Amino acid sequence: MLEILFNAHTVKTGINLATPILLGALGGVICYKSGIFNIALEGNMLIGSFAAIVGSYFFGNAWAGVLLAIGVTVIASLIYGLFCITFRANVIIVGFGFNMFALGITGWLLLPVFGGKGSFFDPSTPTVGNLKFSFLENIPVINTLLNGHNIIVYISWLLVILLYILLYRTAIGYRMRALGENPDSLRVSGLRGDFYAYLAIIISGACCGLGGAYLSIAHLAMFTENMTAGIGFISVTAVIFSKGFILITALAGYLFGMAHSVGIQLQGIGLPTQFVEMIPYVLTVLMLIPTAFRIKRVYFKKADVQVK
Amino acid sequence: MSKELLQSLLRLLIALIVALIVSSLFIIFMGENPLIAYRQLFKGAFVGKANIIRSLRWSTPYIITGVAAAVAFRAGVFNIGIEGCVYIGGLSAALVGVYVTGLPGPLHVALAVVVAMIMGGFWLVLPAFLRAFYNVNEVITTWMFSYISVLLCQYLVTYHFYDPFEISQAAQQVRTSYIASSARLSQLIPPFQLNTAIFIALGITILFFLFSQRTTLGYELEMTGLSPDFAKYGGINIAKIRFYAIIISGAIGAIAGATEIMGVHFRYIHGFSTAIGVNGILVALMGRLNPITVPLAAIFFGSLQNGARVMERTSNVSLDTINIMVSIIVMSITAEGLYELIRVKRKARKEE
Repeated sequence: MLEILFNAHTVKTGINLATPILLGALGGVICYKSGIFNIALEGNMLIGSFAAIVGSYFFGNAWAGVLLAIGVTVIASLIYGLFCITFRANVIIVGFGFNMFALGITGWLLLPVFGGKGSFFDPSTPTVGNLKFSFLENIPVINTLLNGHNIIVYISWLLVILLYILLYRTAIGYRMRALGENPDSLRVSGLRGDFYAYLAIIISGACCGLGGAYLSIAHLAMFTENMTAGIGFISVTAVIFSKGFILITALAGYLFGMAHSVGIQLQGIGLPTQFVEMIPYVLTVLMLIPTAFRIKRVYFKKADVQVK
Repeated sequence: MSKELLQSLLRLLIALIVALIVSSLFIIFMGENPLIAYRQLFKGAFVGKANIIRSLRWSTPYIITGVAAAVAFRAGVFNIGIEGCVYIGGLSAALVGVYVTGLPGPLHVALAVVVAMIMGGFWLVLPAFLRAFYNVNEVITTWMFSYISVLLCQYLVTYHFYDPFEISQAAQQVRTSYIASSARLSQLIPPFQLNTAIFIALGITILFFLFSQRTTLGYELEMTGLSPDFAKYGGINIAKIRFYAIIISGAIGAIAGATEIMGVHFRYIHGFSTAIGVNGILVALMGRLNPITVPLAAIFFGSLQNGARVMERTSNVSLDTINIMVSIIVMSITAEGLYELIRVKRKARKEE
């Protein structure tokens, strides 16, 4: 039983499933630390995955797709930032609207760009390759854990470290965190808070773009309508669960991926598909429950819904 | 009141203009003339008897889900899991319609609606409880619950409540048997799908108006949304208000699912909800949570979608075009900065 559930294949699938969540969560952490409760990760990732497959299909190069995904997502997230920061709109409402916008625009563009509705799949579209280190091949456990993954997986690991350094070891990161904890402190020091908020939005957009690219052109070049299916929200949960501490966020992302992967194995022993698909969503709710028993601290201003 | 309404309409107008500009750009990008597209859209939505009837048919569920979303949002809780309640409500109504027999018509309908409401409300108990008493983020929990409910309904129908007499039981077609004729809502103008659900929608709207304008609870709800601290100071149990706001919102959302099943499909078909719940949230936000403007927003949204359905066959303008337009309206609607920008300019012009 346990061998069915935890083998090399499960680990591989787990990492595969966790990577987009991790990349989204990295974007979420930066926003969280800068005081923006970003629920537009989902929409950003969807736009990213669409842009990635467009770039890969039309330029004939997977990396062109990745770059296009990052570029387009950064622009899209700047629009989100324009509403949230400059226009001071309610972040949750704008985030929700943005997600719907992303859903609409990717669904709409499918027809004129690829000439089909609902989904697009083309086996000849180049995908991002895997990376193999020959010197790791003889070490049993390390080989499964670290070797032969998609290049974007390695980039995501690198990003965890880079963003940690950015947040905790540089002046920019220090100011971003100050913005999240007490926006007035930046104003007192004569710094522009808006600038750092936009910077956070841009970084988060880039992460989401990469995550979206992973969804659409990492293994199979495929795009389906609403292909993110809640991954952005799971990323947000990983952020809230970890209170924005980036290493825990990464672990939480992997927990989601692994749990889902084990669930897929359970399908082999007779669990209905629907329950397997439910696992990440149920886990998300479960992981939010501990936040109930937390000492209250004002990390970000939770926007109350005020439309009137 | 009138000044407030005027300002609210002004904002809507500005948001609409922004949305029109952005979607025009997209339509031009698609290689079509936006002016002609909008005219066709308007024609498809509002001109001719058949079009108006179809527009009303598509607006009906949006009115209900719009009110459902507005109830929660007014209390300051962001219940975005209405889609899930629509599914739960639809399935419960279908089951009551199929398995309960021998009841007279109106009673059967009422029973189905009530069961749907109870199930829909019950479905959101956990997120509501966690939000109200423990401050667990309801945006995520309710959204996740809507995914869970869609999958749960699919599971239940696939394995337990499938139609045993369906011969072409293809894997994709998840559906129950037809509901008893006593549980069906009758069509108003027979060949069209418009049915008596519109009266239910109307009733809910009136109740919502009375509730929010004339009752103490409605006032308490609004105060909880506008200023929780003030409400608390005034002796309102805000946790309780938030809890019930989510539950009621879920219950009303479930009615939309029930009426879709009982009035249009007459059986549970998986995927019957054309994003009714999600669009209801957009409607509520577009209508700025006001009991008068929310139904108008629903009719606006439903009609435009109907117009787009007509256009979809001949042009690149589709349902997604309307969804993009409405989501831009929703994004612009709380953008204080956008209005200040315009107001400041106007002030500057006056000073000149």
